Amino acid sequence: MDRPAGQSGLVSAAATYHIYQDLGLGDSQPQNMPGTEWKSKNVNSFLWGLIRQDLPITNCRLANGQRLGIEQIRVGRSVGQVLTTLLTLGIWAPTRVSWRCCRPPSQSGRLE
Amino acid sequence: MIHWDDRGAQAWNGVHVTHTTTVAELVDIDNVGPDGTLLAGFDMFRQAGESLDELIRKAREAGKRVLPIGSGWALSDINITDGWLVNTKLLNGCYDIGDRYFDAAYPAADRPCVVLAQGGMQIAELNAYLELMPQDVAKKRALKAAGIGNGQTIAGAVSGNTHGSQINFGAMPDFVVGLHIATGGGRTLWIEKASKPVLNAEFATKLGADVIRDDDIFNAAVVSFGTFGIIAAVAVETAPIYQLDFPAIGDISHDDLRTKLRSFGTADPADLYHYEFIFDPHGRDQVAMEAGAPRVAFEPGHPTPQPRWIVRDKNGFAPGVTILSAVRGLLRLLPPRFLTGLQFKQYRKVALLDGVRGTPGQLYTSSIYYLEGYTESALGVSVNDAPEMIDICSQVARKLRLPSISQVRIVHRSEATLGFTQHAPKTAVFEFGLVNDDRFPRFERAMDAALRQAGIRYTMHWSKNSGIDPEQLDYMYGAEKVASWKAARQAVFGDDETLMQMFESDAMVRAGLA
Repeated sequence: MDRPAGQSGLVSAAATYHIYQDLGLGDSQPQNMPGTEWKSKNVNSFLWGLIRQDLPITNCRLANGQRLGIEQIRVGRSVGQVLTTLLTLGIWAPTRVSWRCCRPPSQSGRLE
Repeated sequence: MIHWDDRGAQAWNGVHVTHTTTVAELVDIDNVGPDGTLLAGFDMFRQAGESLDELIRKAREAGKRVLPIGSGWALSDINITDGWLVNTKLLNGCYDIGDRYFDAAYPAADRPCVVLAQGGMQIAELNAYLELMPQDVAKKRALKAAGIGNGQTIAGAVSGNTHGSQINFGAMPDFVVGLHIATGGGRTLWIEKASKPVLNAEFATKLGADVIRDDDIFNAAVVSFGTFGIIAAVAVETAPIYQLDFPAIGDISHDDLRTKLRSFGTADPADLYHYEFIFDPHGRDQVAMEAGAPRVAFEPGHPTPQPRWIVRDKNGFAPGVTILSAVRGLLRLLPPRFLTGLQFKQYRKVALLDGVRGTPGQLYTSSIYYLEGYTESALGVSVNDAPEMIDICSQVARKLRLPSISQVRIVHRSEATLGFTQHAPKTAVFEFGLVNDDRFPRFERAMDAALRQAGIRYTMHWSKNSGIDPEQLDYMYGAEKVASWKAARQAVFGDDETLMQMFESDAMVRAGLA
């Protein structure tokens, strides 16, 4: 199922790390400010990192291709992924990565 | 512009992971124009509306339902669909409005306080626009009402009746003076009250919108949780910037609290803008905590308090997202009084509104760090019934062994047709944080039975309930209001049954609003 890391129930999310932007203008304290919904992908590492699987992110863009940043990332392993890593002694180490993109800068001004 | 990315069915859930679904499509909409440039001003607002309208028509061709999604903040299933989910978060522009676009009847002195915000603008972004961006203090503004957090989008917060506590003003829908809505009908709509014209025909023309000036239609559309089309923009009536000055959280006996609540029912309390109290249904000492603040003049130099929206220590350690699921069983074994006693003590330690002064944008940054497996129930009653409600809640909570304290916020009554904060003269919203298990609906059923027995009319928060059925809806709002809301919906969609069905969510159908 295409669920973000950490959103699959206890038996599915053994450990999740949450990376997110913090703070705002001045000393303001906005909460998370994503511009998109969560997207997730399983990525794999083989032979103790000798072979890695990159995750190129292509959806953090506006319709004209202008890049947005990444607002939040979750990295986690399900119980199955932890067991896979253990049983293969790290030869195969899968992980699930989820992310949400930033909002574009807010357009503002005066309607004249 | 409509932005198709990954096509096809995909899993989705709101941020609090209370419900899950598989949506047929998840579509982004942004402010990029047809020539690839980022639009601004009226072009931006007009195109956003037209893009949303076009998307709805495409969904119609595909035979799919449509639901807009802002931040996905609702704890109930009002944001759940199996159709096309339209992400509006990239529509986050906000503009002041030139004098020429105001109706002649709208006071000139109030015009600098009206802003037009795109539906996807986050409350935190709006606060920054109003409070931080103007360098001249005389030009700074603030929202008149806000929930406890700033993570929602403006359209979602308004349409879901986010309330906070503004004891003499109202909830978030009450600061809205105009709605720009896309219905899929080929032209967007600009909806205002006939009794309070704010923006003129030239303004609507520049938006590319047809005008509806009708109190009943406006009052229905403003709290419609995504079922009246997609809100492209909201005209917000703000206030010149102000602060709230909270003294230290105080204790109040339940007897004194009841006396105070009754006094709110007879006269608007002077020098009080925000009022809330927190009580322990299992507590034996019959003492609550209260936090109240007057609205005071803005005074620079008050720092923004540390937020409570995420629980982490200075090294970043925080509870795992599934910790509630892990300890759920243990929580059931512990005596509820022990747990609520801990919550009560902890609340006083971590409460934000305790001996603090700040603007709404500085103060309303908290929401409980929503752990998976957590939900909330929120019931509104008239402040006149609040004294008895304290006892009823406590009895139900004790009977069900619910280990939850209750936070109660008082808000002036709303005119929104299905606004759950519409109890006269003021609404007391009783909120309970609950584990999202079988006890949640049992609690609400028990409260329903107890309140009916007591002859107390109540309403349920559209974003925080375990489900509403037609009989409950009738008890909460009455047949006349439900009929008025439905008639308004019919008018907004121009009697187009297909479009109306496209915007029927399961929650709405279950409630008998289809």
